[in-house]
Formats: sequence, C-alpha cells, structure tokens
Amino acid sequence: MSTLGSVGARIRENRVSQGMQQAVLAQSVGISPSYLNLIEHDRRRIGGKLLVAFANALGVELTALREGAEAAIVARLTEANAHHAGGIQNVEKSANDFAARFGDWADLMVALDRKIRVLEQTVDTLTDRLAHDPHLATSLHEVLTTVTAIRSTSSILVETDEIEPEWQNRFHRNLNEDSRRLADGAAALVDYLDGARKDQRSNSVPQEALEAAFEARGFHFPELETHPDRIPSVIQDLDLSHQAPRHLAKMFLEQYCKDALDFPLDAVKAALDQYGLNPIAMAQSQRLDVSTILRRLAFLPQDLVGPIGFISCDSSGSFLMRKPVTGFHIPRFGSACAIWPLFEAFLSPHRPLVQRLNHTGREGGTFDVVAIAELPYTIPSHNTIVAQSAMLIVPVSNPSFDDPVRRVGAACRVCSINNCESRREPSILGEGF
Amino acid sequence: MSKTVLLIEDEPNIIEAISFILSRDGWTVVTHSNGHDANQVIQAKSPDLVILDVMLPGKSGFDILRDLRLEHSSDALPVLMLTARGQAKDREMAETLGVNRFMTKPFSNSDVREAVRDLVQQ
Repeated sequence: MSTLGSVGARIRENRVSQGMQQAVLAQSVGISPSYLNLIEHDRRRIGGKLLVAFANALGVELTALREGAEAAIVARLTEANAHHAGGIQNVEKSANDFAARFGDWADLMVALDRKIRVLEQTVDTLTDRLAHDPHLATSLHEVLTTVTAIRSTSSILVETDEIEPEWQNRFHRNLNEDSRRLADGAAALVDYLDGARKDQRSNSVPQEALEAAFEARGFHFPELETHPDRIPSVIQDLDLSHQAPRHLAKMFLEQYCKDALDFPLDAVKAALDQYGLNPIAMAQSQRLDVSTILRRLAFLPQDLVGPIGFISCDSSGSFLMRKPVTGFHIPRFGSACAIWPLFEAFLSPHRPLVQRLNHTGREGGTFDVVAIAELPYTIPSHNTIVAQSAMLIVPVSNPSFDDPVRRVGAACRVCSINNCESRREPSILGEGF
Repeated sequence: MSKTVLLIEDEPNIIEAISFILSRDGWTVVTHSNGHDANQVIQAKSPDLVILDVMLPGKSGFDILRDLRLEHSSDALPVLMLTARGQAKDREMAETLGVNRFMTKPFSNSDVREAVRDLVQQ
C-alpha cells in the first residue's frame, strides 16, 4: 500500500527513519495522532503552516516534503492524460515542466479532472439505474411525454401566424399545466435519485434495509465494544421493520462483538499508530485472522481511520455486507466486476491479496484493497464447504504511478474498459465513457 | 374529401397539439385515448393513417399493432408509432411487428407533419 511520492508518505518516511512515534510528532506540530495518521495515509491534504511545522519537527527542508506534493500532481496529470485518451508525447516530462512552471494551473487541471470523473461516475450511476430500474424508466417516460407536450404546444404558439383566441387560451392553459407537471415530475425524479424515498423502495431487500440502517449509524456501534449483551437494544434502535433484516443484524452484530473482543478498540488504535492501515501487519502482530482485521477496520469510526469501504460475499458471489465508499461503485443489482480481488481471493483461501485498483467510472477512484477468502465452516450433511470473502477498500488520494494498478469496474453493463478479457456482456456506455 | 388520421394517444395535451397542427394541414383527425378497444376503433373508423402511442392504458401500442397486422385487410394501413421508449430493442420490436415509422419523444411538430405526409402519399 505504498503511497511514496505523496506528502503523507514523505512525512511518514522521515518520521519512521528517525524512529519517532506518531504521538510525538503529532504533539510537536499540535495535532492529534489520529489526524496525523490520516495525513500520513493521504486521507487529509495539508499545506501552508502545518507543512512548515512538519518540516521543522522532522528537521528536513520544506522542499523535501513539497517535492512529494509536486510528484503527486505530476502523477495526477499523467493519469488525467491517460484517462482522457490524451496524446501528449513524453507525458511525464511535459507534466513535470507544467507543474514546475504553472503550479496553480496544474492544481486546477487536476481538480477539473477530478470533477469530470465525478460527473462521469454520476452518468454511470444513472445509466445503471435506468438499465435496471423500471420505476425510473417509467418516471423518465412521464417526463419525456410532458416535455413533448410542451414542445409541441409552444411551437404552435410561436409558429402559427393566425390562431383563434379560444385555441390560444387553451394552449396557454396547457402549457401552464404541463410546466407544473414537468416541475413536479422532475422534483420527484430528483427525490428518487437522491434516495430520499430509500426506505420505501431501495430497502425492500433485507440486505439493503440492514445496510441502510447501519449506514445511518456510521457502521460503528460504540455501545457494543465492551457490552455484547446490548445487541438486542441496538437492534431495537435500528428500527428495522421486518424480521429478515433483524435476523441479519443479529448475525452481523454478534460477529462485530466477537471481533471487538478479539481486537479491542485500544489495541486497534495502538496498532494504527504503529502500522498505519496495514491489515496484514496487524493480523501478524495480533495473531488474528486477516478477515477479523478487515472487519474491524471497516467498522471503526470515520474520524479515526477516514472513509473506508468494505464488501463481503459468499462463494456464490452474493453480497453479504456492503459498506460504500465514494468512488468505488458497487452495483445494486446484478453481478459485480469479476476481476475484483474479492472474487479472486476464492482461488487461494486464507491467502490475503493486496492490490491497488483504479475504479473506472467518473469519480476516478484509486483504492488500495486487501481481500481474503476463508472457509469458515462445513455443512456435514452435504459435505460442503461454505466459503466467504471480504475486501477492505481504502481510498488513495495521491496515487503514485510507479505502483501497478488493476483497472476494474462496477459491472460489465456499465463499465467502459473496452478490452477487458473478463467482460461477460457488452457495455451500454458509448465511446467517451 | 380530406384524409383521416386516427390518433391513439392518452396524453390530452399532446392529443390537442397534434390534432391542431394536422387539422391546420387539412387532415381530418379522429382521436382515441385508450388501448382496450383501439383495434375495434381502427376497424370502425377506417382511417388513412394511424398514429399510435406505445404506452397506453389497457393495451400497449405493440399489442395493438400486432393484432392489427394479423388482420390482412390492414396490411396497407400505415402506422406511425410515437414513444418515449427510444431503446433499440423497442424500435426493433416495432419494425418486426410492421410499423411504418417510429418516432421518439420529444419530437417536433414538423417531424410529425412530414411523417404523416410521407406515409399517406406512399
């Protein structure tokens, strides 16, 4: 999970080489150790006085830390060129020259590239929903029909030379009605896309109801850290209206309590200080399964570890838990991308896979993931082994281009990787996506 | 004697707009707004052209077209289909069923006028 080249990585590199504890450095620059942890893992960007304070505390030149920032900008420019199928020759040299001579413009270009990817991701998401969601298709039909009526009526009013007052009044009235309908339809559509009525539609599946309830709690349950007997009251508070999601919640929270017992919060914080977000190092030092560490890290408070995504599935590929993270799109329906390490992990159970992923789609997410499959139990009557896989998804804010990256998507139907050998079906996205 | 266009559409304001522009061009426009008995209305009115929406209450435009083409007497009756469903599979289905022109919403008045003129003159 190296992020060498970034400011955070350089701070960490200098601190570790001097044998300085995170807490010591954090105190000397006047921030908390957990905030320093976020900075070192590129989940918080810094500059200005704080960067100067770090340089002083570490006894290094400011440029030694800044060079990392410039390298990160160069990397993002190079990535932007590749993403937009750019034909810039000697791209690395050009990016270096550009970043060195026009730093502010380079920052702006990187920001614009990010913005474009966010918008592209939005298109992906909408396209995905449109392709799989009959309600949305019907709503769009209604909007298009109303737009047609408005267009036709307004054309009549504009293009017809002589029109009887009675017809004129009628068409004005129609325009008024249709514009109201269009406004109402558009508002309803936005509500739907925003998930404002999520509880009425999206959560009809027990898994989705459970995930929505957990999301409302930030996927963290401090009352269960030391009190597993409080599971019933937590489930009560989750306000799940059906038995099926309550049952799923009970199973999940029992696992949560077991993980908290195996790896208590204080030990987690100490391990984070020592290893950063390195699940494998933590598993070795704590003598715990990697999957336990992945679950534990995934369900910590965000202010401790930053935004982290998590997916688990069984060997049928069905999702058991999805904790979303911005930029890593997980399909709501249908099958996911076959080349996610989550699935590859089934090929070598108990062996963790570490991979840097570039998620296509428009938010331009780069992520470090750790995946592991385990064989938790057998069904004796069927002599069947049931396997499960889990994947931790950690956003990388300033990826280095030296690291190998695997390009993945959400699902073939909405994926733009044209030459993917694992493609199951054609994409509905045209050129340019 | 002017030729007759039967407009089968359930959106009242689109009915008014299309009726108005075609009437101005000299067509006699007859309207109907549900799918239940659309095939009987086509038989009864004997129009020179049918303009058919796809999503109708009671029976879809695709089903109406399918039943229409099963009656050999209607082989020559041109059908212009209007729909917000512009996906390729919808267009292919309409063509398989025997549509003469397929137009997706939002269309312009001139598109409709031109299509009606073309189809009735064929």
